[in-house]
Amino acid sequence: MVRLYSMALTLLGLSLLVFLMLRLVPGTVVEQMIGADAIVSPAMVAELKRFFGLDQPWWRQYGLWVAGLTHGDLGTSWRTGKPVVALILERLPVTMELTALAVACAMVLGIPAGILSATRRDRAIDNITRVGTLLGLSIPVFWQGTMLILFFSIYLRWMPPVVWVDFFTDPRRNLTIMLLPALCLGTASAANIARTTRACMLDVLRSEYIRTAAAKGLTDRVVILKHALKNALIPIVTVAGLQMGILLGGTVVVEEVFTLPGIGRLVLWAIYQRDYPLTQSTILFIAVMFMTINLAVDVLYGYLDPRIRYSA
Amino acid sequence: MTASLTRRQLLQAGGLTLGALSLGRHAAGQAPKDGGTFTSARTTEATGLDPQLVPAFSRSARSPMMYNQLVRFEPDMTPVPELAESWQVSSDGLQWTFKLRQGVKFHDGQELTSADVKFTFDRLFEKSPGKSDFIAVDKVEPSGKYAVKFVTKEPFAGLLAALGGFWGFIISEAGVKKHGDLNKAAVGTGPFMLEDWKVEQQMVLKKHAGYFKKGLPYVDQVILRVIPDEASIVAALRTGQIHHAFIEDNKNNNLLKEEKSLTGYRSSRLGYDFLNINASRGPLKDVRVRQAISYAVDRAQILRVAASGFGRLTAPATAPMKQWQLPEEQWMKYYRPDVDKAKKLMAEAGQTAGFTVKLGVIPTFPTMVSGAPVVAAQLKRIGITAEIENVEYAVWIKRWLAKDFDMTMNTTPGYADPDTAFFRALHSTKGQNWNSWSVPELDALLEEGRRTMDQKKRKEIYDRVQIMILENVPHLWLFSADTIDFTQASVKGFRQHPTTLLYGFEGVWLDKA
Amino acid sequence: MVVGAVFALVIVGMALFAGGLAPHPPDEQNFDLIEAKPGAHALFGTDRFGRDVLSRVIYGARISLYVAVTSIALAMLVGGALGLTAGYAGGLWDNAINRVMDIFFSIPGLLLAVGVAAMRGPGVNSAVVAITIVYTPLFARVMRGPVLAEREKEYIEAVRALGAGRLVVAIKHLLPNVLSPFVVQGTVAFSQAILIEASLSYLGLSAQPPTPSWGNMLNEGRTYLETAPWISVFPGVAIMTAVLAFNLIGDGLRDILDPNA
Repeated sequence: MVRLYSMALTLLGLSLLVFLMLRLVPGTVVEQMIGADAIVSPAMVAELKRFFGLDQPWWRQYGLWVAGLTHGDLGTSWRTGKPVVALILERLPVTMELTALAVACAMVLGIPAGILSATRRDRAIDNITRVGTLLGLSIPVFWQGTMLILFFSIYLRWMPPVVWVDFFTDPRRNLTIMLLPALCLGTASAANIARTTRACMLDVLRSEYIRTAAAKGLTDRVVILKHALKNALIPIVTVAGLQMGILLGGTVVVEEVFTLPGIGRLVLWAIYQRDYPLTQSTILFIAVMFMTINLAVDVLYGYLDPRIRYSA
Repeated sequence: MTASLTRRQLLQAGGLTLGALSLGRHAAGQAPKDGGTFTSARTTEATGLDPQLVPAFSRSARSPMMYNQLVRFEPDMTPVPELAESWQVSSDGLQWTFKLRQGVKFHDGQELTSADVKFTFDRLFEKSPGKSDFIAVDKVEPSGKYAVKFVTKEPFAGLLAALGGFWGFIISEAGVKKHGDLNKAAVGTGPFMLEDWKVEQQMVLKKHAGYFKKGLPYVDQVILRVIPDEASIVAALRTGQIHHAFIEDNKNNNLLKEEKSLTGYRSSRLGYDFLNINASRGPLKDVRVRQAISYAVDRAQILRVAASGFGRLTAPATAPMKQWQLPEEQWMKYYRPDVDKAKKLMAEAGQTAGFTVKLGVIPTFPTMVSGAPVVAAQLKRIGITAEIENVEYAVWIKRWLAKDFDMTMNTTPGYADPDTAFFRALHSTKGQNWNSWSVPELDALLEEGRRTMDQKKRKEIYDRVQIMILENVPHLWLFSADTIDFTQASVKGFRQHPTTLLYGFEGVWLDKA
Repeated sequence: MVVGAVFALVIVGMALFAGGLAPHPPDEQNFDLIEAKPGAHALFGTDRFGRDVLSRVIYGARISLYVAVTSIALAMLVGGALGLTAGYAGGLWDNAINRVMDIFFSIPGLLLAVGVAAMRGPGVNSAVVAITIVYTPLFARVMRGPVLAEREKEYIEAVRALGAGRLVVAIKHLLPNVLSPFVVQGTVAFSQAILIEASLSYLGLSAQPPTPSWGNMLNEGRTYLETAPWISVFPGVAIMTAVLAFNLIGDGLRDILDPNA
């Protein structure tokens, strides 16, 4: 309950901040609509400003927007004339899918790498993994994307489809589009997860009960998978959850590089177009999503490990 | 090879390929086939669709799919009947009567009448930025159900050009009543009807079964996708995911022209790229300084970098404005780079030491981004330091309208008629005066040109206008990039228009082999 | 860590002595050598203006380091001060700061940076502001936690009992004891800042062409991937090396300063 209350307060602060920052941006939607190739009278500019309510004092504009929000009305986008909700819902699945796939990629790559690395400590495979994770943390997402495209298109003569298809229309095609972006987005997280897995596994492997289990004559594989991994899982899951939030932010770059119609690109477009209602409400929406994910991770964490109680 | 290639050779080379390509276009006189979905892609989305409220070029380009004009300009820039069957000018030159084609249907099934034409222009004069094209028009009156009269304040030679221009699309009165404005809906007479529009993704258009050109359009559906990154568009063409794309960055021609599965189209464009000078700022006031700039700039080099050489240097009247073209020897001499001469002019203007100016660039316009550093390097040779300033589109527009710049890279889609082309840009008080300058002699000449209906006299006037432009250097016509389109080889009947407006889709058909 | 330090030194050296190291000025155009392959005349090849890619990579180090250094320094300063005072003073002040920081934590970091830079309009300073805004709350939090724990310890109470002023206690006694996690966080953030700056440049929001930065070189090179891949390969390698170097240093420092983490 306290969490929810403080979330609401945060959102209110954020709304004011975003609102004010946007008004400080030079140029408005009016100039954006006019274009260079026109003779425009000041009267027309004034007319357009009135139309968008830009002639009102800022606190009134803000009040109207927030009043709408409390009724669940995110407003209408100026440049498209569509309700903001509709635009968000149209783009949301792309971003969610991308994030989810990236987390999946990260876990599929990161956890086994971490386990291998921990169980073969200081051997060749461990060193390779450790260098690999460092590289993974250092590679810029967009460069990786560009290089992958270069590699696939020139050396393998294969190109992922450039025209967007959503998952439900054509799952196979959709997944071929999403493969590279998700891989790029997930690389850094995979590295993070691999590191965490390795550290936790090493901790657990050193502990008393694992040695007991091993002493009982259980095979390596059983010990590792059944006992050790189970105990190392809590922090791994937490890290994966935290990564989810970070990845949500990373989508904006990946969506730009691979031109995917997700929420991150929607926000950027809205800012460039000076589409205030769309920008404001979408940012707020992302904040809600982000905070919810973080909250869920905390709850999950508390559930997995009852010793930890969240306090704040 | 580059250093030794002269501008003249460059031009000729351009001309040759142009001819060669246009030959292949109408090959194999097969009968067109009906049906199918035609998919095209562009990098920019339209900001709105209302043909009267949205000045952006992205709107103008799309309008011909859904709307028609009274007259249309052929690729050689001669006017031909479209919604108007014929027209007459009164002997005093003050009244134009257009006879409308009968039986033309709007998308909602209603017939086009003179009332819609009157409504179109009343609304245009009332609330459209496009009214400046029609400034000499006093009123538009119906004269019977199928004829309209345009009454002008003075003889207005540019009327046909205005009607066939970006603001001449005829809308339906009922459509406006129903939708309020036509930004998200479209009710026109054009070959395609707007069915669905997902902004920044795609626009779906359906064949208009009642289209007045019998048998057209051939395809059942057009999908216009927005793919913001041209590299992706290139990939989509190669992998057959789209049928057609208009290439904005001409260097991509090099990547696509060898592809067997594609057909390339290359033609000259009405528009041009220019170096916009604010002639009211500091040293730029001095005509000698502007002349020096003109002599310092090597246009061929800019063309090579900014358009990969696919284009041509151009007189103020660009190549598609054939009947208005100056003979090459009259303008080319002004374009010969001559650093010594430029330095001398700078010295005469008392600017031996040079000066610093800002040079604006919109980061999302590829020809500006790549042209500016070349211009800057060339100006450096005569002591002018041009600091490149990247200005975001919305801010750039605002500043450009307020004339708040020293110099900026700029580009224009061009205008079919010399009146619209030069009056708007260069008249110091009645036009938009892109360069904040004033040459009274030129103003007078432009006004005379607007009043003159006799073709031969008009031609003489605009020849003089062009020479005056070259002498006084309001802005530098840098180059006119070629228009480059690619379609899948199965696409037939496509023709690009020099304005790059999408007139060509109505004649497209798919030959599924 | 040693490897990291060596790489880092090389990059810092590149930035400092760019003028002496680069074979050409970064904006010198050579129209006889357009999109030339890497070779004797140009080690990393040339771009569409015939500019030397190697020289531009060297000069690009300046932008990356400038943005990373200023933004992280600012964020550490402001964030550190906020965290220290919040943790030490507690009460209303602590609460207020936490509320404000929560606002910035409510948006994913990279998106926040991109949003701020897009709103401020493109430019190097936008990148600095954006990265500072992203990292200030983080540093405030990293500082506040340990301060909170340390405050209750006996020695602090002892010093206070001796009559030392609050400010003196905070700076002279508290700060040194909580500094190490803060510094470790600083180096990690530094490498991330390089990465974020590159992303912003790549999106056209940081340094503007023709000023070379690694990110905008990549962006420019992207359309030449097929015909001239070297334009984008080398700046990418540069970014990766720089980030890797500072990551290694961060790891090393963590092992030394903060062995429990």
